[in-house]
Amino acid sequence: METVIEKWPAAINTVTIGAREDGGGTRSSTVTIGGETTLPFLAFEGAPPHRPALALDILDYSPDDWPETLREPFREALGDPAEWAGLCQEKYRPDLICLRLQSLHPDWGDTDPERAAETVRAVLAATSLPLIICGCDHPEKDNLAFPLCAAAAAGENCLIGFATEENYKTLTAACLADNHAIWAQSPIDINIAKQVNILISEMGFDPKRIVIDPNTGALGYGIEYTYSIMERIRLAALDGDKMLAMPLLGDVGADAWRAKEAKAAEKDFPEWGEENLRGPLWEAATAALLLQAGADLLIFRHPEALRKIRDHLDNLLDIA
Amino acid sequence: MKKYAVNFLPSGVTVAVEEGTTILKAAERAGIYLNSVCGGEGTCGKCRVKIVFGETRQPPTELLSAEELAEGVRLACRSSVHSYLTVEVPKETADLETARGQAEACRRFRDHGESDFNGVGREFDPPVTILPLSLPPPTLEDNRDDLDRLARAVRRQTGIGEITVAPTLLPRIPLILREAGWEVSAAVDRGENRGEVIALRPIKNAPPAGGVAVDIGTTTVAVHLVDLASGKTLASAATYNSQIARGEDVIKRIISSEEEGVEPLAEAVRGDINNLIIKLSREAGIAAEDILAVTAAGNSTMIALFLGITPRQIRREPYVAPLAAPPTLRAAGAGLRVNENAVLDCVPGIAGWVGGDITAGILASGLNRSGELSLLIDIGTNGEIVVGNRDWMLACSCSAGPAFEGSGITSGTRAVAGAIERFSLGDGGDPLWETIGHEPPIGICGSGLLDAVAELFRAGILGRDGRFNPDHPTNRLAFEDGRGIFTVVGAGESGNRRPIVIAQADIDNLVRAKAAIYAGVSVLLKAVDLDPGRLERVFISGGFGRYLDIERARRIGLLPAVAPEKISFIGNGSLRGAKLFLLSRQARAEAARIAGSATYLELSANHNFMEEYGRAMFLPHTDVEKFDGNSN
Amino acid sequence: MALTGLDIYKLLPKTNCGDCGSPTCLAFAMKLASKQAELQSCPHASEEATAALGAASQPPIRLVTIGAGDNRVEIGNETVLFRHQETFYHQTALAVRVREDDPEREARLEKIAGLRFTRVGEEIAVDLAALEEESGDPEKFAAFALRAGELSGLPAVLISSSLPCLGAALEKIGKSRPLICPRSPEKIEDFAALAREHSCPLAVDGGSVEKTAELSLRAREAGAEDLVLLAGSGSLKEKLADLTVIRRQALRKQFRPLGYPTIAFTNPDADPEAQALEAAVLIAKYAGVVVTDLIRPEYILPLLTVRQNIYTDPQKPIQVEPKLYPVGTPDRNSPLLVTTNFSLTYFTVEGEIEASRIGAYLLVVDTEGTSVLTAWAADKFNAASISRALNDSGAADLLDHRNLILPGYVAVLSGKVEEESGWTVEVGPREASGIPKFLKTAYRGGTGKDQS
Repeated sequence: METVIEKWPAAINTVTIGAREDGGGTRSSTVTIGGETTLPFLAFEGAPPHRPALALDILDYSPDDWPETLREPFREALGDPAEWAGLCQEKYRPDLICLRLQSLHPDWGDTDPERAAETVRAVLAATSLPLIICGCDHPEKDNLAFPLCAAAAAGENCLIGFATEENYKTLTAACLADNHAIWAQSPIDINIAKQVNILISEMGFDPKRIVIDPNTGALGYGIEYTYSIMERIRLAALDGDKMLAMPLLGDVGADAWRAKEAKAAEKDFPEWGEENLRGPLWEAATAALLLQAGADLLIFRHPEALRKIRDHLDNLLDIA
Repeated sequence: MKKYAVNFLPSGVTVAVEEGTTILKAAERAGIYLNSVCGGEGTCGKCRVKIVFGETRQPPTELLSAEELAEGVRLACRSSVHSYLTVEVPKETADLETARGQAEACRRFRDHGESDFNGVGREFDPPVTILPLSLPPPTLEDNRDDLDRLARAVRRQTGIGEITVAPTLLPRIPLILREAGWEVSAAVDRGENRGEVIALRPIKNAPPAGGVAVDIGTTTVAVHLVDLASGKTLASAATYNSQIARGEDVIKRIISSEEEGVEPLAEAVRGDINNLIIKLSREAGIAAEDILAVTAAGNSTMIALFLGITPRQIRREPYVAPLAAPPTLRAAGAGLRVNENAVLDCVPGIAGWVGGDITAGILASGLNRSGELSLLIDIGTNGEIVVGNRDWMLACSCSAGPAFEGSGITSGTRAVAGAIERFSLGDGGDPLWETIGHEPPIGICGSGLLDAVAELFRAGILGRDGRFNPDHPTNRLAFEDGRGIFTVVGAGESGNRRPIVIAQADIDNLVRAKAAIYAGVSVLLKAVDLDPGRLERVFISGGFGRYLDIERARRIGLLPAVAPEKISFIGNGSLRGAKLFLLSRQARAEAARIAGSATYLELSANHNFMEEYGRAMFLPHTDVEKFDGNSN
Repeated sequence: MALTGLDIYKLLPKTNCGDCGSPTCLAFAMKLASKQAELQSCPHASEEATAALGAASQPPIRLVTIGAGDNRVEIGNETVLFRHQETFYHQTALAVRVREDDPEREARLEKIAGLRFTRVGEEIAVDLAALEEESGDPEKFAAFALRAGELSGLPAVLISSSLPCLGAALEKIGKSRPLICPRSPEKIEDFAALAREHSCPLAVDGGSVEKTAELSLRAREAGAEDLVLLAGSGSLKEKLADLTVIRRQALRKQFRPLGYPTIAFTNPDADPEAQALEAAVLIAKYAGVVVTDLIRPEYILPLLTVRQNIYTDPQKPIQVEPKLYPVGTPDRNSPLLVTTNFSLTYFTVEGEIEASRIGAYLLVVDTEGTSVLTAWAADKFNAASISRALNDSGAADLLDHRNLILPGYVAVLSGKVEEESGWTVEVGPREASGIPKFLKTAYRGGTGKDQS
């Protein structure tokens, strides 16, 4: 029997996030993702050069609508993003911090773009981990904030998002100016994913500095779409499509915790068991599937989910 | 039949054509554009070429001097191929726009198949046959009755056993025969082994016996008036389908017919056809009485509405048409103002969404007669696409919207005098355009809009996402509420004192239309595992104008990656097919076979379609690499 | 290699007689190519066509049935490596292990039987009880197997390397077609004979893919036809490699000795969460049977959901259950929106309402999984279906107002919906992205309680 070994003509781009002092930044570590030459975790065809990176979310407001299970690990820091970031780094050891500037949104506080830039500075000061910065998904507010935040983080080589088909120009210009990587989001659609990358690249931005977020559906709530879109993007990339050869991002936590099965209290659904076990596992299971589809960077909400996936990766990569 | 190679200079393109083909046709097949203002009538003299080597045959013409003839100069539309030929195409014939120095000329085709009968290899043999009869006047020895005398003569000429006469004609026969001095022309509607005399007219001083071919499009209704005796086209005209007032697409029309009844829709389109017939009759100098046959091609919904039938089920699973092949009817019964006995035949359709218009397109392209693997794309409000050859055919339909017909477009118009049918951007970014008939511009027709999108995209005024680029320096671009508007012609220069503009919504409409067509083609080819590269011929049909710039159509991603020389534009295939249906019994038999054997692919049940559509919603396409740099 | 529609067409009579139920021979050929029809439907097929198509249509991975009767599960007969290429056809069977010496074993078996949930209108449940022999005593094991069947009501996987124990158990429960799962590569012919005798499926464990292929050949020669291949026994990395190699060899090379479904065990020494994540990977990556030691619903529900999602047919539009959904925390004055049951449409609309942070009700109408415009065009989203859904939903009892927000694309339906339902219609935005703005600025209903 001759084993079918797949040789692909192309490899996935590598993207580095964060900059140490020698790179012009102040981070204590950097994270590099991508670089695969074959499908996920098929070590017999080629070991992945970089371990998928795991980030933890922090918000710039106190998320009163989060379920107790999710608030508990951060209780003392909720509402203060800098303290929250520090707590995460110290206690839960993610590879990166993902700062969400949600309060910019007209419905979430409508805060000043200048304040968002200050938050970025404060978080950078409070943590030495590489930083992902995420706007509020309101194009007008994001476009006011992106240039200020990019400038506030100049030199730190952040990943900033997200760019969409409808709104990519301001972010691209800001990332060009201050040398950050771009988080490009598309609505579970391989074609739009590619189109956004082409549009960003045509502004003179290096496509090798883009990370694709094909928009995560949670387990039970459309993850099969994301799973297949990720698989297809990865297959196309390995087959030589340069405009899809970007590392893949799974925004796991934000979506998994929308699932009823993750957040519902045990008293409402006794047959589902304890919510403290169930919620983090729902998030981790969502992540485990995306890893099989090709995800390189996962953003979590619950530190327990992140820990489980870190162990799971050891298991997948056979690191005792 | 014998084939000869024709080599065109200076491009060096060679094409093999059958003996007797005109050089103009050969050039079209080679993908070489030749000027021809008269549309191949031999009257404009614009299609001059020089025969460098080989033998042609042609009727005498006053348009060429003796010296020119001696030098080998010929009219391409009149000269036919009878040996291996080397043909030099002079610059002035090659392109109207040579002054601009663009090298796209050789990929532009002109729709000039509309003049005489062009059977694409089929016999001229109209089902309603005009028989000139010279009856022996009755004598004491030969005192058979008038009817029998007429029937015998018809039988003798046609070989048909059973001859009947239309009841309303019956009482007038004795008088007509005598008034005409026994020299009459009989119009016989020929069926299998029986025929019906539907009209009887004196031979002397009679106007031509008219036949009408109609293309009932969702957006545009087009009519040709033809001399049934010769096949010559006497006049042609088109108008927008006035059903548009009740919805711009097929679905909305069906809903209208369900909610407000079918009559208003039937009356609307019958009125359109009648108005066109009146106009054409006047032009040709004949009376309504002289029109003896009508054929109609249209999608299943249009035919049903025209016949006064509510096509409810076409929009409901499993998408069934009320009737695919309507029987022969009296045209007057369908509200047409023609001879009371004139017959009406509709080209049979294939399935709910692929109607007789596409059967007609297949007839016109000759796809069903060729061994070559061919693709036919009919670009209309519904894009209909067929792949196959004489052994098999697979067809599908996709909704493209009326943009290609200039409808639903801010400054859109049909392809009428004054319509901008070509558009380019000069080096300075200023629009250069040409109108039909060189009249002052009144709007943009489908071909002009397609040109415009291609050119605006090339110039960077449009981005790959089909949006106007606010950073472009052109002063013709303005923004309202963030949506761009490009001014082609200022109010002062326009023929109707209104500015001619292209708005973002127009671009969106055209991009959607081209994406739907491209997606339909992709899905159809994938359904039979065919790569576009394996196609040997591609026919483009559509009523969006008189020409289609193949290169630009490829540049915006309307057409698949096929070598340009394989692509030809056949004009309004539905109308041409309807005309074949009018003029050739052979074509009619083929239509029945096509309708009975072609396979229909239902796209609404096809999950690949939306996927392919999404891929095509970009300029030229999400797979940019397959389009850029691969266009030659 | 699979034949294309055109290849098959050339083998058919080309008469377009329609006797097969398809309008043309090409249409039938295309159905055959996509395995939506069988050649038997054509009464005029030539022998040549039958032979050519028969060879091409033999499944590269054998379909294996475990269990008998209503509870049986089918695994295998897969045709693709990636679900988007077609679909994954036969869901992974989920087995929970029960050890013979476990004092809690009976309670455990009862719990397994209770691991059933309903998600999106589908019942999802554990399929198999994996019974691990530990006593070495044939009679005891046989009694355990019998009792397990009574308590769980599920078909069994019999895990043992003792021929007498398996033999005794099969005497008792062989009729229910358990999967025989010996734990050693020794004596494969004997196990195969046992499987043949009881016509039960047999798991083959060679310790490596090469050795397993060899064993499967030997088992087959010894008369066992329904085989299941054990994938990897070490780390998850090895299991993933084995499962991938087996699937590829079967599909890409038509390598018959590996043309069977697979079985994989999660690491029994790992903590439950790690096992659950491992099982999720095995389900996604081709395992036909996954055996775990998990018993709590917190772990099983996500696994069953993983399976449900991965095995959803990507070619069919996914539907959500047509009913009234609360979004956020609506009250009696909250807006009521209506949309179709195509899942992407639903998720988009639901997401936008949630993003608006305004509590609302979303009424989902059954349109057979089509989007708003498609459903409207095909007459599935109309005044009658909307009014019916509205009446059935009980929205009238939950709300003090009678205002319904209709998607902007079907504004034309407003009058008829009002007429038919008696509710007041407000026309919402065309695109879901406009919902937050609409709810905040344009929506007028809910305030005027007297509008009904």
